[in-house]
Parts: sequence; C-alpha cells; structure tokens
Amino acid sequence: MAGELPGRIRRVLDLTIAGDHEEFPEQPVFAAPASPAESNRIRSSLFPRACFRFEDAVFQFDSSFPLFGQSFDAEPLKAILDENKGARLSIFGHADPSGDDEYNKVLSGRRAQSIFATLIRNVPIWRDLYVKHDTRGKDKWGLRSIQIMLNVVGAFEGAPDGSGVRIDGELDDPTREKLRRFQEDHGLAPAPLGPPPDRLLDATTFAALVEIYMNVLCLVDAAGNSLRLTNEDFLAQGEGKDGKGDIQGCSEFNPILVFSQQENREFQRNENHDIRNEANRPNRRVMVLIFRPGSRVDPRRWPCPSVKEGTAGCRKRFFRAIPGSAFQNGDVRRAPQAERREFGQTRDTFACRFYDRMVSSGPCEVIFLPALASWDVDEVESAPSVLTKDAPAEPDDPASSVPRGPR
Amino acid sequence: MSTRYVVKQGDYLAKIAREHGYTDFMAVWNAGENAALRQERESPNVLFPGDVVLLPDLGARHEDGQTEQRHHFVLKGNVLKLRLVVEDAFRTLVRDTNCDLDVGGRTNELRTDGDGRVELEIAKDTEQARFVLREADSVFNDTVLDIRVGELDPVSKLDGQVKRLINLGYLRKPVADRNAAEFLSAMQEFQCDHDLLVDGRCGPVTQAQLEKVHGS
Repeated sequence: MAGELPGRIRRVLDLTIAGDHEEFPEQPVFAAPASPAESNRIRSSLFPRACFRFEDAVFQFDSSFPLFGQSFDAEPLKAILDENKGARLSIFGHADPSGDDEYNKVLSGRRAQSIFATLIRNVPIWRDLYVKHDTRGKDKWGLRSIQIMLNVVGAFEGAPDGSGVRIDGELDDPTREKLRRFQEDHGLAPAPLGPPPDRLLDATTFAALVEIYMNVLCLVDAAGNSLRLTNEDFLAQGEGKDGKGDIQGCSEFNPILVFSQQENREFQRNENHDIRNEANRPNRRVMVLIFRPGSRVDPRRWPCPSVKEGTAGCRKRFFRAIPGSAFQNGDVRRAPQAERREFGQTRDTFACRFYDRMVSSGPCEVIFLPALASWDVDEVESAPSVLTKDAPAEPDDPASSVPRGPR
Repeated sequence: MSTRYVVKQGDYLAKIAREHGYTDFMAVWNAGENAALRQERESPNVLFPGDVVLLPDLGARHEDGQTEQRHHFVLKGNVLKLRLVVEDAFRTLVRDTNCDLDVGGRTNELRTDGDGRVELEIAKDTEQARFVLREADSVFNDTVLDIRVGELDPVSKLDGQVKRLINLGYLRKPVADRNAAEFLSAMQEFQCDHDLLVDGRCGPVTQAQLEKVHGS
C-alpha cells in the first residue's frame, strides 16, 4: 500500500507515522525579458518536505484529549526537524464521516489544537479545551482527563506500580489523595477540585500537571528528553487569530478511506455503528506538515478557516467538477461510490483542493491498519478480530504503559 | 526584401534582432511586415516556437553586431531589462530585501524595492540568470533560482499557462496535458485565489488574469 504514494515512509510507531515527501528539483523561473510595463512575478511555493501523522488511537472516540507516549511517538518528528533546521509546521485535524460537517469541523479543530498546544506547551489552550466543550457536548475532558494525567505524571515521577487511580470520572478518596500528593510534591497549595460536572482544577495545579503531562507525551528518549516547539516553529508563527495558519480542523472533508455505498448502507444501521467507528479509524487523524525552512504565511491570507470558524472557508477550496473530464466536485469525491476507495490507491477522496495539493507529494496519507476489506458486513455481529486486534486498550491503567523518567 | 525567421524555444525579439545585426529590435517589431505577428503576440518578449518573424531591410539602421556593444548606439526605450517581483506563497511582497542577480558571469548585488521589485538591464542575448535572496530565513530559504530568460510562452498556449503557474508556485513540475489532475487543480486554485469563476479551464478571462498577475 505504501508504495502507491510518493515519497518515503521513515518510521511507523504505535501511534504515529513519519515520512518524507517526494523531492522535486527546484523548477527554473521561465522569464520574459521586460519592456517598461512587463515583469515576472515569482512566488515561493508552499509544498511540504515531510509529514508526521498522529493516529486516531491518540484520542478516544469523540474526544480531543490525547494519550500517547508509550514508545516515544514524538521522536520521529524531532528527527525530521533536526534534519530540516528552521522548518515550519502546520497542523491539520481530521474527523471521520459520522456526524455532520460543522460538528466534525469543531472536533477536528479541537484535536489539532490539542496536539499543537502539547507541542508548544501551551496550557491556556488546554484549559480552554477543558472548560469549553464541543458543540454536542461529547468532548468533555472532565475528571477522567485529570485522573489520566495524575497517573501518567505519577508514574513518570516514580510512583510505584499499581498506585494509579481508577479512570472513571468519579471523585473518590484515591483520586483526592493522588491530587493532594501531586500538589505536595510540587510545592503547590492544596486546592481541591471544583464542583461537578467539570471538576476544574485551580489554575496553578492545572498548569503544573498539564506541563509535566505534555512533557511526557513528547518524550523522545529514555533519558527523559522531550520535544518542545514554539510558536516560531509554525507557518504563521502564532500571529493568526485562534492559530490561523498554524492549526486547522478539516472536518470530515478529507477521508483516506471511503466506504462503498453498500458498506455505507449497512453501517448506517444502529447495531453496526461500533463496527463503523472501528472501520473509520484511519480517517480520524491529525496531520503535521513540515515545510521548508523560511516558509511563512500571513495568516490573513491563509486559505483555511481557523479552528473556531465554520466550514464556509473550507468549501471555497473544494474541487469543482469539470465537464468532459474525470474531475469530480469535492462532495462527490468524499462520498461513498460503488467501490470502497483508499486515498493511497485512487487519490480521489479529498474534497479540499488545497489540502490535496499539499499532501499529494507525500507518503503519510496511507492506511496502516489491517486490511478491512475481507469481512462481510451482513454476518458480523461484533467487530471481527482484525478490527479489535490493534485497537488500543481502554486507558484504565495508563500508568503501566508510560515510560519512566529519571528518578 | 525581408528575411524569414522561425522562432525557437528561448527566443525573444531583442535576441533575434541582435543575432541578425539589428540594434533596434522595436523597429523590427513595428515593421509593417510583422503586423500579423504583433496581432497574435502582445509582446515582442513573449514569442512561441514556430512563430515567424520577418526581418526587414532597415537600410541605414542595419548595423554590424560588433558596434552594437557600445552603449551610445542603444536607443532609449529599447533598453532590455530583467524585472522580477518577488512574493511569498500567499501574495505578500518580499520588500526591501537584499538579493543577488547573476547575469553574464557577473553578480549584481541588488535590493527589492517597496513593491517587491528588482530589475537589471541585461544584454540582448541573455539566456540565463540566477537569483537568490540574500537575507537569512527568506521565503526561498537560500534557494538559487535558475532563471531562463526568453523561455516564457504566450499565455494562450498550454506551455505558457503551465510556466506561469510554476513561477507563481501553483505547480511544481511541468505537465503536458490540460486534463492532467495537477494542472486542473492548480488552475482552480489560481482562479479561486483571484476571484475568478473556478472551472479549471484557462479561457480568455483566466488567461488575461494569469498574464496580468504574472506581469508578462
């Protein structure tokens, strides 16, 4: 499968894929000599050097709270940036086709923000994601996320095995004790959790906990070194409103897997929703594109809407059908057709022309999950083993799978 | 009697005129014999392979190529320049920025003006130049751009459309088919960026805009 796309996959880890885009020789400038009124306008092109994709398993369904770091998943991104000093990034979140476009725009944008904030250690963005929910109220970080962070940070800082608290969103004594111990260990005032349902932490404790948790997520080696970027590492350098140019949510507009019409009909039955959600896993992803050093954009001219804006700006960039050619419009490209399609093979599943143009020279929009085509939707009552085999365990004890930091 | 000359890739009128011993290429362009060519091609600087230039008998103005190197023979208004306007990927001009433009074995240290423009008088047989922005962290990241003077084709031709889309950063390699997906996508992107009807076809309106945006 990977061979179908240009460029070269460099690493595939549990939760991330890293690749180099196809290298093109710099094209010459084709110039006309000039009379007084003539000139030759040359624009720098914006094509990625490399790509780095966070897989769906980083997030839980309908959630933007990330959990990764089991195998130094951010390390390949560090390697890419070490080889491309001064390269600039932009992050594109993607949702799967269940749910409507506007909802998925919000959710994909929240996932992009979540990853962005992690990479640059921006606590206020996480506080915003924590406090504000998605438009359906499903993506609530809540006490569960606090419990995960307490366990992960505790394990990183040397808490004994088995000392993690239950990840159930219930404020029980072990959770209170775990929090009190964290505050004590870090010289923080023993402020309690806020009232339900959000159970908000006081700002100081939240910042301390989140920063260490982000460090753990971005670990690149067993010595405890962590990848940490800044606004200046991104295309718009943090100058855009709501991160415009640096982070965007692509809603469900750019699927790398589109079911066949028959599969889609089956999946629409309620009892098949779990299978559908599993099968859609490749589509839920966050793509980091790495552009050549010196690349930068004026966020006011960047075509993608910000993570806080609706989908109108996306639609402006959709492919338009061209009569007399095989060129279909964006909504047809992303919709189920007679056959199941994968971007890696057919190259015709993205609705957004701008995104398609940028990622088409790279290897990262490939599907690395086990083949999904060989099962019959009519017979399957529960998810077949190929679908569950690689599914991430529920993070009921994330502490056990997190690398230990120096004691 | 005039001489018939068939244009090759890389030709432009000043170069053709010079090769045939004319000092004043505009006189060749404006000669009655070339009325049809003038109608077909808007500029003597953007010709297409296969075009026919008729080299008229210009009598006294027809001088030996050797003497043409002396500046006082070059008529005002017939000076040939290489003029670039430099932008980042989203149309922000690269203003007041140091750059090098190498032409004819000489490096010229220049600076873009407030309109992102840089220009240099060039000899009328110039075929190549090299351009590099000299400031750190430039949008071209120290890439030396190889400039092929005279290689731009008329905007009415697919090659001319492709080359302009490459110069403007929409395409990253040449295509030979106007139904190629990369070309259609790039064309739609250009149309979208310039508020044109987004149909992927480079008709007269899009051609005019492409020529205007490119500057030639």
